[in-house]
Amino acid sequence: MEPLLRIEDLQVNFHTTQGVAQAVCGVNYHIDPGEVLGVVGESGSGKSVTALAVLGLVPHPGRIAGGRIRYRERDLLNLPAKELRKVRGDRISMIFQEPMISLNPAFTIENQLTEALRTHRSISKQEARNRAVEMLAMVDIPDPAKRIRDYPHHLSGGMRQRVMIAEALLLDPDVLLADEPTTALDVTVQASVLDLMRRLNERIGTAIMLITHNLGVVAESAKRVVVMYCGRVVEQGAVGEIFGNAAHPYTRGLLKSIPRPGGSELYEMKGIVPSILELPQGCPFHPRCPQAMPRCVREQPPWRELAAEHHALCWLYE
Amino acid sequence: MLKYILKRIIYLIPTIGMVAVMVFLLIHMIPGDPALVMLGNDATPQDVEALRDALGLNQPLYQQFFLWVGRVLTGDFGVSIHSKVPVLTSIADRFPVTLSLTTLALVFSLIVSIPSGVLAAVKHNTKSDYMFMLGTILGVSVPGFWLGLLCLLVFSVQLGWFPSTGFVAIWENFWEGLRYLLLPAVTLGLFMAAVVARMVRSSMLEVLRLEYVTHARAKGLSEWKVINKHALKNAFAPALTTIGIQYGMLLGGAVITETVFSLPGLGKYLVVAINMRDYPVVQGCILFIALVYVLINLVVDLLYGFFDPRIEYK
Repeated sequence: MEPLLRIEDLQVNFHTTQGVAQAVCGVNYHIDPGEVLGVVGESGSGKSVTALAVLGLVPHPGRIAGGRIRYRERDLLNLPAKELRKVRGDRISMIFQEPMISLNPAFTIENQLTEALRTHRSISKQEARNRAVEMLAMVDIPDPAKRIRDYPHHLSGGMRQRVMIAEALLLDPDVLLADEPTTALDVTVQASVLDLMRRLNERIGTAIMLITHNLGVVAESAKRVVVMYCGRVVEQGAVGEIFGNAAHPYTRGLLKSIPRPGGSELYEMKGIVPSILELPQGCPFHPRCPQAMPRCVREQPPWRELAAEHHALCWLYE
Repeated sequence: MLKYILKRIIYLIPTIGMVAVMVFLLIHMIPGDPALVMLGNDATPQDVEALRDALGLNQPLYQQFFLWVGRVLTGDFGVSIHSKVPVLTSIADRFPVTLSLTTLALVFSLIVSIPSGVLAAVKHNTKSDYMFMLGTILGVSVPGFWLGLLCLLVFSVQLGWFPSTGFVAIWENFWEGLRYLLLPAVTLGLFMAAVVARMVRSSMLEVLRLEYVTHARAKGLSEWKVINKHALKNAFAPALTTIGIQYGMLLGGAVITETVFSLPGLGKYLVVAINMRDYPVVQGCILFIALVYVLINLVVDLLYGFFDPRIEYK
């Protein structure tokens, strides 16, 4: 199957006063039509920046320094601004981490929902409104015809995230980039929003790139997993492979850090994520790696295939 | 909302009361005697004393004050000591001139400040932004009376584009009236334009970094819509505060501008009245201007709700 979206050797640099920070450093991964791909990593691992790069929205002072983002035979990075806008929100949409600040406080839900519709399709105001109400019902917002007239501050965080999801899926996009969609929500609400996304994925067939630092979220929802560390993909594979047969010491560390009922003492990965301004030589994970070898300090690790569609970026598999 | 407006109007009473006391005390504190001004330097002390008695200026100050307040409360602002014309009639004659001047100055400053402030924020840290900052510093620091004189000299006297004296009311002949008002309005509005433009720029810079702006872009909206719909509406609320406060500066600045351009407005009337120590006129005019200012700020406060729906009026 031809992948829907393919990120190839993506490089994003942030030009700061303290120097150039490589936020994304040669990232490769793809997403297939209709699948849920989990992208996991700690804060600063470059997972959000990668998603923003797909839509050409890397914030200042970030700059895309190289690579390609292929979507339906086109390279999104070389698309004229006008063409890229046609993709944004229509074919590829995005939802953000903080529903409290992602909706514009100065406009009603109706205004914000119909705006996306009317930007990409030539439909009447009434039609757009009907479609928006329908979509709000689909994301389980009670009394949508009334709620649509509310301003964002009238809604709770969970409700707002549902509105965001409704908006993102209004135009039946091919891909939904979900950047930590549940992180800011209460645990109980998290589960229902995740469940909603899963149902919509099955029903509408939109592929979802689920960006999260929570492996539990990935285990429940994703088919494949990409693990990122310091702007690099360090491991990638089917969800069963990653959880049952993790290869990279970083992934193993993450998995051991998940609390389990009745489990032994929680594992704590030593050290902290290094600043991307001062990345260590060789493998960026070596100062924290329990299995580090002299080679890891000197040389960048290779990308190795361990099983079908299971890869890791590590010297252990040389 | 209605309750809020009512409450605000009740709050006006102490504000206006304070203004009344201040105006009354200040004008009586400054040296100068209206009777002497009226009679000229050759008048005998007996004549001056007689006139002072006739004008009620020999009563104790507090008595004069309460007499005046009592009359003002019944809508009687008194008559001019000098011309004997009722103060309210004079205000009604002259205020439309000042209102048209300040309104035009306001419109000019908004037309200049909002687009330039937005543009400077969008082009943050580029040459255009630096030029903008330089321009606003000039706009803030150039004194109004000097700029007015310069404009008169260049555009009226040298180039002959605008009339240098006389006045045609804008409500009688719009285009001709505009010719008379344009230079004064630009002179008066420049300071406000600079201040508001800086405010628009800084609050746009703040808003443009926010997540909902990225979200608006991610929807596929044009940059025009992202900036002028999503960002500007939010960035405008802080600018609105500045506009409300600056409107007071416009009313104050009108005093100078009207004098420089010899416009028959309230400001010029006030200057003449101060020189004549025409107490009822000075008191009446300032009280009236204060009232206009507080009412404008009430309107500004009500407008907040439009730009930021989270504001509730209780």
